[in-house]
Amino acid sequence: MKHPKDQINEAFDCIKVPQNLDTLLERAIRQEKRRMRMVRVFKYASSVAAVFVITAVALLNLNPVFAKAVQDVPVLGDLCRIFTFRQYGFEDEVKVINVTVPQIENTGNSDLEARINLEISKMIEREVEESTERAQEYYDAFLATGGDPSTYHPPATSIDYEIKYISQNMISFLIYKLETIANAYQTNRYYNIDLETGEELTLRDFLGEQYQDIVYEQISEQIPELDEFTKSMLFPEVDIKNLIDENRKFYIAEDGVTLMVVFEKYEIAAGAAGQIEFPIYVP
Amino acid sequence: MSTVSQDGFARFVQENQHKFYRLAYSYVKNQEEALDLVQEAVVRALQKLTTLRQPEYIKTWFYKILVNECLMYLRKRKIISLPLESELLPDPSYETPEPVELLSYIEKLDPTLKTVIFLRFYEEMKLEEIAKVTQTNLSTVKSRLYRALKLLRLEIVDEEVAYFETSKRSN
Repeated sequence: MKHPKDQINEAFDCIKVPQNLDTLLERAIRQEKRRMRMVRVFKYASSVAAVFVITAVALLNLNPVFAKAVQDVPVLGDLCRIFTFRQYGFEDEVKVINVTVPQIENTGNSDLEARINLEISKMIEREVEESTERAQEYYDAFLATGGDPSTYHPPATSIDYEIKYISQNMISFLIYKLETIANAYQTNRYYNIDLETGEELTLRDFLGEQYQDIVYEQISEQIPELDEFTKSMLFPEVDIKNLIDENRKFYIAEDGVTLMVVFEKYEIAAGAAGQIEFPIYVP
Repeated sequence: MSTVSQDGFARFVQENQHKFYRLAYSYVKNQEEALDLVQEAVVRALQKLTTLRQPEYIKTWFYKILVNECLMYLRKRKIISLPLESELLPDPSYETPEPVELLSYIEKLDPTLKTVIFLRFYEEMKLEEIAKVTQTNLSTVKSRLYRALKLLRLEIVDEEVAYFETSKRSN
């Protein structure tokens, strides 16, 4: 009779490993490395900017020549800024929460600033509350199903932001919440704001009344070009055109002209494909 | 203090990914979900990589994350159900089951038993390492291993368990 070890190993070897496992994990690692790097850069950049502004303000008051020179530098002269307003975290046996609250300033429109900043703060507050409740439910369920409190891993929630595009007329940024309860999942809120009108921009504002057709057409052209793995993960029965409405999430790419239309994880493909983005060119 | 670099971690994943997948699959029995779980565990481990102080423990460290991820997922979906022993027990007439058949019995085991079977035999971990991964003590690991082997009607030949048993008796 065979040794149990060999029998068990042969049994596990029967589980067929999908061919795309390799590419999938490699991509997940690459994306996460990039995300971690970006988060670091943004944090660093915003703290440097804050120090610089304080110094600059002091100098402006002291030195009229410097004041004149600053006006000619667009970055400091009249550009809206997004900065880290507050960072905090708390932790107990049920949960771990880390929050970074961004605010905007220097838009030249203080009503607009106040309105958006208030909205951001409220939205974040709501998300923190929701995650706290969810963690508590999760903890209770864990105990109720006979889990040992000493082996409980508190779910971690972090809220942070990412600047996508900034110019004199427009800002585009993302506030995201990453929650790791069993499966990690991310909630995204994209802000695209017209700094002159103070309005949030929609796809219609960029593409006109026919925006749905334009976006759908460009996406249809791009789907065959997706990598094989992503293609294999797409849900066959999803009507993408119907998903393109005024609430469709998007952001403005670094070049300031391309719109990145976003489909979140599970929206049009299996979770393994993650979030899927399509660049849309404004004709 | 030495740490594992991101590239080192990527290599570790590449070398062991088939095992990770097979473990995840044995819990959820669904390709997409298994892919998702392995991916989540890898991303999570990468985020926490700086907390791994001793590179030689990378395997137990990572399995702890993966097993935890899978069990949390099952718990959340509430698909952990303790199978009745009668439906679990293989036909007593069988001698050496076909691998596929044995796999179906392993898949029916309670996740905690399955974890021990996988780590002990497929991953060739020491009992103490398994205790670390599953965050239990040595005697729990041993009793789970016994129980699993018994349910699978496999002969209990495990040198390490035998060794612990004899050393306990001689004390």
